[in-house]
Amino acid sequence: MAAGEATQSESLQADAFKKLYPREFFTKFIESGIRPDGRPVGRCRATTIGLNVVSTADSSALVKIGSTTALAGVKLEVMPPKQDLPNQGQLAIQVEMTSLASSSHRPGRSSEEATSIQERISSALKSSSALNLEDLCIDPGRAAWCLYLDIYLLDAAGGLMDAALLAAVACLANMQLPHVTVSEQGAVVSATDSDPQLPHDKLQLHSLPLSVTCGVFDSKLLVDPTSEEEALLSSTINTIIDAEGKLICGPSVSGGRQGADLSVICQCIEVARIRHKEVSQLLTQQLEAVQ
Amino acid sequence: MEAGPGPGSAASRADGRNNLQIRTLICERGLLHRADGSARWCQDKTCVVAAIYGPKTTLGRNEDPEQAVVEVVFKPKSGVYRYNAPGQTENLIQKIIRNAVQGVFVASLHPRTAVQVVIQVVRDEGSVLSCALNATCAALVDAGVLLHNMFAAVSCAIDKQTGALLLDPDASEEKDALAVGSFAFCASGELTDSGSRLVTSEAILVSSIHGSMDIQQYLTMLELARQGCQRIAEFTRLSLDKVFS
Repeated sequence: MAAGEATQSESLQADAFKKLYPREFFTKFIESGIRPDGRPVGRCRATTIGLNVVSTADSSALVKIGSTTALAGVKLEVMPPKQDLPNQGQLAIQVEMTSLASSSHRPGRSSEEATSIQERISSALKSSSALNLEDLCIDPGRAAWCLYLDIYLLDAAGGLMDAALLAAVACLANMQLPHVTVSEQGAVVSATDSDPQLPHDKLQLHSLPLSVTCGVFDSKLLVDPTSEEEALLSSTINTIIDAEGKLICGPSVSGGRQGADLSVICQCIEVARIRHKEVSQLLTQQLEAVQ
Repeated sequence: MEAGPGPGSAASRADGRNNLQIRTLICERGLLHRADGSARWCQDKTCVVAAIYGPKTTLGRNEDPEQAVVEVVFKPKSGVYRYNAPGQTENLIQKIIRNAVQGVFVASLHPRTAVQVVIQVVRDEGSVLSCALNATCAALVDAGVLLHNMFAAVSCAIDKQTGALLLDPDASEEKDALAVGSFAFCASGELTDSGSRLVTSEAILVSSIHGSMDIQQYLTMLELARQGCQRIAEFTRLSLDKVFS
């Protein structure tokens, strides 16, 4: 009885200490080389990718990195291509932060974090040439696919950029374009109506840009920080890398309270390389399982 | 007729500079009377005006009981800008500048207040982000806000054809580039025998890149950017000397 009460008051004290002195609470763990959730400083949280989770979307992916959750979905639409680019389709990306994700976001307002993630994802997909817009062309000058890619951030528990980018890439990798032809009057005729056995074309992704977020705390490098850890970091570095080791849109250093040294950046790039191998393996497994 | 590159010079760019040359810098402080601090920073044709208002009161839900909050408003030269919902690129630039200012500003001196940074692009001929960062630093100094360090920023581009690294690209070079990056390094004063100098440290405050590149190219770009920032820091020191002596 007394032992039960003692542990209850201890855990209450620990919670109070964490709330009042988050920095000291965290330092106690870091000094032994471990973090409050039990991970060593260099390990990422468990990642899962679920494909085809939304039946109404043409392709969808749900990614969980620890508790951070991002849901991506694509809807296809046939549209006339732009006048000056008649051979290319379009990709419209929208990233939204939901109120479920964090208490600081209110509905109706576009969150600054969501727009900066949106900008970075569209920049990454364009710079890595992952998606060739010419693959989306149906009939040059008359019809092309327009992909509406929507990403919803369902739980903001740190590492939002990583989850969002992985969800976007998984969704696009799983995308299959149906065979369509556009008639003289402009009506879209789906070839699968006449021949259901015709396989869909798989959308080719020429590279897989994947990202990892690292942070510096007390001159130690923490990989994949949670949202509580992110608030204490002196600087955050987000690195996007592709399969050949090319840096896409470079490491993005957000000052925080101090800058980041060159050695830290090199470590982050190494971490990104290793992480890319892990995650791309996971992604290929999931894609094969779905076929 | 345009002046070509001088005899025997290594100049290879359209405006006669060599790869590592930064354009002419102009810095003017205190031009806005209503603002607590203001500065106009020009890198040849690119011109940006920054104004600092604060520390001042802020709306209840924004305030932080332990430190000051930094708000940034970045207005591009043309196009519609809405305060509640700025466009994507403006949002990203605002976030970058806010992170940079938070990195050098002693926020705990002014709890429950806000420091508002307003940046207006007057003319955009390349390297706008680094110009805006430099203008912000100059305006912070003009406002008399206490800073840990100052910072200096420069942009760097990789040319598509030659693969050469060009410092401080102008608009046409940015368009033809494989990748363009903006970097800001912390700069702090150092006392030497001949007086004090402003020295850039190794600490990278801002690194924002569009485009893809190898790791080796990135590291070279970083080193060149640091040297470029050192020159900008020296220029800042000179212009500060003029004001305060």
